[in-house]
Amino acid sequence: MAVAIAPEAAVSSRDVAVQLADVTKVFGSGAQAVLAVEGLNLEIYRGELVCLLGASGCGKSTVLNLIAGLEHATRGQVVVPAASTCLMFQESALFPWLTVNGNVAMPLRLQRKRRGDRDAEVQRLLELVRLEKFGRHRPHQLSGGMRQRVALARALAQHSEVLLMDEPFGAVDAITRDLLHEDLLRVQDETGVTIVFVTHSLREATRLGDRIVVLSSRPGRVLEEFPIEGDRSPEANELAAADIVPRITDLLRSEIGRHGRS
Amino acid sequence: MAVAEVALSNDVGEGLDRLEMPVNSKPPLPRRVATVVLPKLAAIGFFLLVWQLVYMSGIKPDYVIPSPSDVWSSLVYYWQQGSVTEAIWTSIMRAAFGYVASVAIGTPLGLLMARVRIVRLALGSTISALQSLPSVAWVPLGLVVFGPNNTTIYFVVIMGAFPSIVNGMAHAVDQIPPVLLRAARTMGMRGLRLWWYAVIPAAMPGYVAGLRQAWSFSWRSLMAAELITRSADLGLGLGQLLDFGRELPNMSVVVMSILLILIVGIAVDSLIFNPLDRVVRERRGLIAEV
Repeated sequence: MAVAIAPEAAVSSRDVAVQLADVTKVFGSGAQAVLAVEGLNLEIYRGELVCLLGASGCGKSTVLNLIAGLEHATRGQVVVPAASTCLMFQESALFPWLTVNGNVAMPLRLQRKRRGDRDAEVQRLLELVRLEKFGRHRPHQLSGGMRQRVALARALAQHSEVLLMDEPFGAVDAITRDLLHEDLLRVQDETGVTIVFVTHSLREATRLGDRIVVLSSRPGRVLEEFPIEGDRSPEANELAAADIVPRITDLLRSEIGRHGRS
Repeated sequence: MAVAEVALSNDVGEGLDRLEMPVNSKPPLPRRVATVVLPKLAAIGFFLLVWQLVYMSGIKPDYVIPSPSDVWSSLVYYWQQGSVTEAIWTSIMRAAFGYVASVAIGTPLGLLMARVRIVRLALGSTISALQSLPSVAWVPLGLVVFGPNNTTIYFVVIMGAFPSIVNGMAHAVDQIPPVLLRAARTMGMRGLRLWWYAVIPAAMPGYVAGLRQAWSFSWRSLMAAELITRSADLGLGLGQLLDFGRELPNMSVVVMSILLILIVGIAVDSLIFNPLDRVVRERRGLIAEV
């Protein structure tokens, strides 16, 4: 039994991949200073998929940038793994002058991998995102969903322990998004990568997350955490969502309302 | 059941991928040739017709405005004599040399200007001013400093062409979508690798536009320089052929030279720069279907 649920066992051993301890981030200084994040405490465990959810102005993207090392905390401590992190955004940001193969190979080139190894790995990563037939295409020849899958393959080629995703599926239609969710969950099962997923869609968060972290708005801090029990099948998800969604909705409403009163 | 569901979702995925691919249909080659070549031939025919009519109207005597057939016989005469090929070859070699030197000077300067703020502040407006300065203005200076020789000609060509390359490169770097550079940085690119793998390739479309503009500037500058710079031991270029016609005076030679200058300029642009520009933009999906 314990052997059969090896991934869960890894999570339950509480192996911390990312730790934010009492993190505060202030942008600007003096009268114009904006307190984006204040006293934020968050631990993300290895192999986990955590969704950060919050209303506008909750500093979701700031939290990702802090973890990615693109921003530095004003106070507090951010601990990330040595193998660093990789980041995906709403735009695929593929290099338009390279083919799909060339884009996925780019991080491998930066790692100075030999050509043969590179080609084999690009092939493997494209199979993982079901795009092995499109290696020679250029980004502009693909649909938005396909581009995001290429971007995912490119991010995985960085061999980071932690994948940070900033509303990556915000700009695709509903059917494509469902498929991308399946792809992402499958990719995580196969690679064991830790994922921090920022979204403003409650539905997306309940579908994907092992845990949903709801952030407060301006300044951002953790309001409440909701673990999602059960396996990752859509059925189990709907069951969990039925219980959680109303609670999170209330939480977000009162949070937004708090700003309306002040 | 579960297997069937997975298979279905795979089908949906593949179907979606196929349906969402942009369809690309190119008209067949003969039709493309016809739509590109025919309008051009028609324009040339119309031009020759108007010319012939002006000639026949007798507004000006025929030693001032020669007929198309006069110019044609001049061309045949000087072609057989070898002057036409010599002049074309000499001018192209001069323009090419000056152009390559401009690219060699302008490219690193453009990159430097894009990257180093101080350089941009110091040189930015000067380069733009140079770009609008007619390069014929450099000829007297060149003649005094270097004398009536090839050095003067190269000097004028370079002064005419390199500002376009500098500006082309600097503006191309400015116009790179920020999200591409953000992606490059999250992949860990810094310093030289960032420039080599991201900034320079991303700047290519704008740089190629600069290269193309610089070609027309260098060709124009060359003609100004050749028209004025004359000496016995200086090879015969198209500009000198034009001036030779004026001195004879033989208007057929003058008109022939003007047409040759036009034809060479257009030929280089449409044989080298237009295809280069198309390839760079087509790869990136930057050519709109018209």
